[in-house]
Amino acid sequence: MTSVVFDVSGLPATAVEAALGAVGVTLGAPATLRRTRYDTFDARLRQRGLQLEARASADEAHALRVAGTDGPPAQLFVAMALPTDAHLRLQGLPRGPLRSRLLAAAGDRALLPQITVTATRRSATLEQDGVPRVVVHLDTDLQVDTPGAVPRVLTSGVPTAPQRRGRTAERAAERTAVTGTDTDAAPNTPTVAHTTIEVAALPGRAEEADALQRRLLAALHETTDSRDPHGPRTGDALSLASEQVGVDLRGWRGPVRPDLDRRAPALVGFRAVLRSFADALDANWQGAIDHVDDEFLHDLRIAVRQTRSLLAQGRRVLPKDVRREQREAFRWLGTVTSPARDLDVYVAGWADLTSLLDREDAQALEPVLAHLAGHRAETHSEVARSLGAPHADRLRATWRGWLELPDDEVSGGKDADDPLGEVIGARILAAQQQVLERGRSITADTPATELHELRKDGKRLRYLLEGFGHLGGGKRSKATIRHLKQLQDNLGAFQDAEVQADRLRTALHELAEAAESHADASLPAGALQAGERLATALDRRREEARAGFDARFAAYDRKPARRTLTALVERMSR
Amino acid sequence: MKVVATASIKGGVGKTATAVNLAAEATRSGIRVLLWDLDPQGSATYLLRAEHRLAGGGARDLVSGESELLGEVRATSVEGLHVLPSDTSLRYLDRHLDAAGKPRRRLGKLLAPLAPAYDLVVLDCPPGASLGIESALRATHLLLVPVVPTTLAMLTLSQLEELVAASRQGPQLLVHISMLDRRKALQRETATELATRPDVLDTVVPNTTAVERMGPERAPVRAFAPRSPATLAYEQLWAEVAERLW
Ligand SMILES: Nc1ncnc2c1ncn2[C@@H]1O[C@H](COP(=O)(O)OP(=O)(O)OP(=O)(O)O)[C@@H](O)[C@H]1O
Ligand SMILES: [Mg+2]
Repeated sequence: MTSVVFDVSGLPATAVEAALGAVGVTLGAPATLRRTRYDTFDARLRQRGLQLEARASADEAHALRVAGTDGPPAQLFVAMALPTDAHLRLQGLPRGPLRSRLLAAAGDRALLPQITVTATRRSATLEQDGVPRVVVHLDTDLQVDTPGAVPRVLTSGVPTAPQRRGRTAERAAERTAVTGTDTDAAPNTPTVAHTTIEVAALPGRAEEADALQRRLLAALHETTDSRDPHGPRTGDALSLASEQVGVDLRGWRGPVRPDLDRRAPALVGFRAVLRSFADALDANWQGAIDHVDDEFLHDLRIAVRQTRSLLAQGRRVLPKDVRREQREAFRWLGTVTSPARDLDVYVAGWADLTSLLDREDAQALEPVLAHLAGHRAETHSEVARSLGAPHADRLRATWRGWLELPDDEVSGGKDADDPLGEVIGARILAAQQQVLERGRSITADTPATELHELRKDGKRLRYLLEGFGHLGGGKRSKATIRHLKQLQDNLGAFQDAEVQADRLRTALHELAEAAESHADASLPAGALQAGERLATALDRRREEARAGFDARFAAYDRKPARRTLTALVERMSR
Repeated sequence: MKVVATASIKGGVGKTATAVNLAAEATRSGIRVLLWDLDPQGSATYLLRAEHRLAGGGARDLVSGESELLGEVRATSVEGLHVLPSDTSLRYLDRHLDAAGKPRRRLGKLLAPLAPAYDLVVLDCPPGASLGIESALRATHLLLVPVVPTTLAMLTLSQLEELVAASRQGPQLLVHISMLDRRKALQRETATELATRPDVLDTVVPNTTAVERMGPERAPVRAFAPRSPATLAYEQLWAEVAERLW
């Protein structure tokens, strides 16, 4: 059920009312209506065709409303005002279809307010024989607020770069779309509509809505002789306002993949890819500091790891001093964010972990979860302190400053001007060689650390493929990444189970010690035994993964799979 | 998607009043509701201002799959509540079901495609027991039977219970006391006795003028009497039903 909206800000109120009267619309009494739109940082609701809104009206009614592409909108009346500047807690909503639908769509991500529009609304339902046909809303005195939290998250990145030359207009535009504000465009700030008319079609009455909309447009033209009003356009006052103030409801869609040329100088290509990683780092920076949800830190750390990996690959391409300095900086970023992420994963995966146990054991372990959750909160404060410190800002500004220098002002190592495809091709082959050699040397007695090393080798290769693989053909690249991922999943399961068991044993140990030294701290009976049973179950998981390694590696080391990779490299180096 | 039906063998006991008000209450708790008016009298359709002639051969085409249910859905005076309007052709529903084959499964089959669009379907059944009602009950999760606390009403209740018990996958049957007139001692007594049964809900819908006024107002009670005891009763009734659905 679509609706259309007219921006009639340019018309005098009397003209608007006259036009509405001329098409038979008699408006009801005015009431203030405040609407706040929410979505996840990456617009998961929108992707599923859902629009979530909190509505507050003058009569103190608060409702959460979800409109979708099919069926009527769902409206949940709640007793308390919903936040316009903080994220919405789905867990606090009553059980039922609305909560389930939102949870299914948003997953683990927080629902952030995107924009708030307040207006005086007068509505009319056009009826025939007492049956409703079309609904019309007149919104006046529209006010738009972009809540604090969102621009903070969305615009946090991009510390003012010293120069922005060397960036294509498209990249700049894309950044604007993502960050929601465009500082460059400040002089011609868009004017926001303050009066709109919305014509909403009811099910089975689309034709009647169309007809009314046409008559209304004609009537509006008749009452004035200007070109106004603008419209009609599909949407509603809220989506129109978002567009006008530059809030992009499409959300963060990951960094824009640079348009690479395999014959371009290697240094140019490296810098372009590093810039896209820096964009992801910046986009997730503030959300990670505020711990809005776990994904911000997760995505930030992916950007850090990808950057570190590419810096490592950049010998003889990147300038020596920049490379040395930045490897140090990004190593630090990796270190300060690592404990928080580990504990995020642990806490988020707790239900899955304890599903290995019976209910009684799982309950006995509750204090362990509480202990870890406490740790986790500390580690997040630590992240906030580290990333919020001036040191971190300087670090990012330096990095961005170098990345944004025009290509002709940067000189690199001795391979800097070699064709990108050739350089990357050689790196991919070397990384693959390393994976194969280590993998083939692994036998039943090989210590676990070797498998962990192999996982790292695999990651190195994977980042190269993800960043540059498409230079050798998208299809081949995807196939190679798929092969590699199957191996990596096995190595990941192996290492994760080990880390989880270690962490569990450490936590139990800490709790037992605390119980001994403080009279007030106690560990419930059965916790230690339950913990040991869980650790044993994890050991078993680890052994299962280990037992599956040979087959997984053999699959990776098959000739056709190896050939795909060689063909990929040949293609990109040509 | 859950399906709730209001049915009773006896006529005029408040099935339509319950269906309409319950559906309206549900729309306030985040639920996308479709009310299907299966009664050719069309009281629910009238009360919700959703009159509309079904396309082509009406009920026959709907049952045979010739025309799509979703295409016949209309808005109501309640935001978020949709109606599949009644039509005189529903008088021959049993015949159409029979012609389509597997008549008892037919309505359930017709409802299935609505699942992505609605969380709840409320079926307002005509009085009596017919093939159409059996088919509706087969598709229903929860059957709500309004009972006016009189001896005769209790008798027809047991007839309906037998019908539900006879079907293999019958819905959960729940009773709510309807149109209770507290001035009548006999009604009070019967109501007290009824209330001890486990399948009788706590909510009692009293006999009030607010419900009668739904006719001239053409709206659920909340729309014109938000603070009346009837509105409160339907709100509670919905809470009791919702608790059993999700
Ligand atoms: N709680 C009530 N208080 C007063 N009047 C009521 C109440 N409930 C229903 N009525 C009135 O009783 C009449 C029958 O109600 P309703 O149409 O809801 O019953 P029904 O069981 O659907 O009837 P039918 O069997 O004809 O479909 C209507 O006129 C209605 O206004
Ligand atoms: Mg009825």
